[in-house]
Amino acid sequence: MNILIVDDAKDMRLIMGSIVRKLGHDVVEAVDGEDAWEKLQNGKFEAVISDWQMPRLDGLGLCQRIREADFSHYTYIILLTGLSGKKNILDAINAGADGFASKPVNLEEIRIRLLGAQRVVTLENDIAEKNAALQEAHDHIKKDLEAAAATQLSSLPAPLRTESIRTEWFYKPAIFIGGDTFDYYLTQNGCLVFYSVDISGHGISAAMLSMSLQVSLGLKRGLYGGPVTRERLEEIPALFASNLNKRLLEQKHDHYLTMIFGIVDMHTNKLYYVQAGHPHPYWIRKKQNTVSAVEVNGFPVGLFDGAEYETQMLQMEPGDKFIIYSDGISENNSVINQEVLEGDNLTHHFDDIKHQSAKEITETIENKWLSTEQLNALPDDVSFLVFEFDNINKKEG
Amino acid sequence: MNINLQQENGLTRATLDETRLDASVAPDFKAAMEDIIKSGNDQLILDISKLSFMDSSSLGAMVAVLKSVGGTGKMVILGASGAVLELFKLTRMDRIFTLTDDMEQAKQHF
Repeated sequence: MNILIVDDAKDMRLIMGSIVRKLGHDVVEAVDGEDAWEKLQNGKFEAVISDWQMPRLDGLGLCQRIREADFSHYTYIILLTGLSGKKNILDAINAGADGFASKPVNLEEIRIRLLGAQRVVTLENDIAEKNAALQEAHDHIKKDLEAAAATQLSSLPAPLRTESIRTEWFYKPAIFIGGDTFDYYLTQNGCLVFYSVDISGHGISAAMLSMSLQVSLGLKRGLYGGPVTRERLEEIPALFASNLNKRLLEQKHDHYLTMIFGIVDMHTNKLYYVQAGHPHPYWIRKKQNTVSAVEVNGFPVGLFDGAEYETQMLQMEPGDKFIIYSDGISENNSVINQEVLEGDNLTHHFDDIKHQSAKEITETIENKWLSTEQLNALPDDVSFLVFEFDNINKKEG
Repeated sequence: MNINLQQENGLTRATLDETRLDASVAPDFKAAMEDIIKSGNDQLILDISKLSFMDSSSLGAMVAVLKSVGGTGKMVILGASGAVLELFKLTRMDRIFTLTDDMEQAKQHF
């Protein structure tokens, strides 16, 4: 070990130096605490053997400085005690001393103290190495997750702007990446296909399944049982859920999902959807000036063989809004009244903002209902998808 | 995962002594219940009246427990209320599980 010997008495430094060298260590000498402190800045010492009483900076003060310093390695401190008494020893331990050796010094005691020092230093180095490796791995994973989160966000659709329907959304995962996802796309014959999905569990494996669904749900005709035609609008949602149920059960993983999948006929603003265990969607009706949760229930997807699903139909009118969301919001208290954002309380929250545009609604959720602290530590993914309907334009599509 | 067991006349009452069941504890819940069932407690009343929160991610664990009770066993769920009962209804699990809020009624199912 590289050892710093600190003593204001030259003869003591000589005796201690010769003992420590004899034990096979390298020695540097310092004349007091301040001198030692300077030398500690410029060299790496595994252990310090220091006298207690010295001018300028004493042994206790030196201990404190070493412990407060941010050295990359551990420094084992042995204080030489001419002083006796429990209080002194306690003060020294509190200041950060590891061991004591009594004066006058003898080789055997120093040998034993340094064996202890060696053991602690080896252990501390070992821990420091492992910590550094863990930190590196952690930084690496964090960077990867942040990149994955950016990919996931970029896979979500841009707000839709047609003359008869606009969409807005709010999405915030619990830990970088989430199991919630949603998407929508227009068909050539003037229909808007949409879904909002919440994969069970959260974290990487849920996010991977969510991404793979994001890729396959819109494209795989197999799930739709044929092309999206106007005649099949009532059939498709329930069939889609049933087909997806079969597909998930065939896959060998433990995930299942809750979902709302639907199609809007943009020629009539009729909205056909299937409710598969997802929270009840909200329907804000402009003419009636009402907000209500559409209380239809349904089985989650991928949990039971042969689960049956039903398509619901709602006639949307100009100014109506339809809001679908995952259950992650229900684990948060509202900033407005400190009550859980579920059930009647959630309905009241929507009632207060029923006149807002889709864009304002998503902004209110993010900025008024939830605090920044909540958003940075969500227990589960939070996602809202808002549809806003306007006059039908039959030329579209 | 705290689950207290009481046995009486061949029936086991498993009382879940937790207020939350979510994705982070659902695997523990599932494992603990499967151990209870494997050690011969397949005539089961699962008392979840202390639960005030349950998320959709923990439904899978509930269903797995129901499956592991098997064909000859039986499980009745006692005391689902509030948001927990709402979740059972929302996901139609009230049609898959036998739910009751009365101990005497629960016993009638065996």
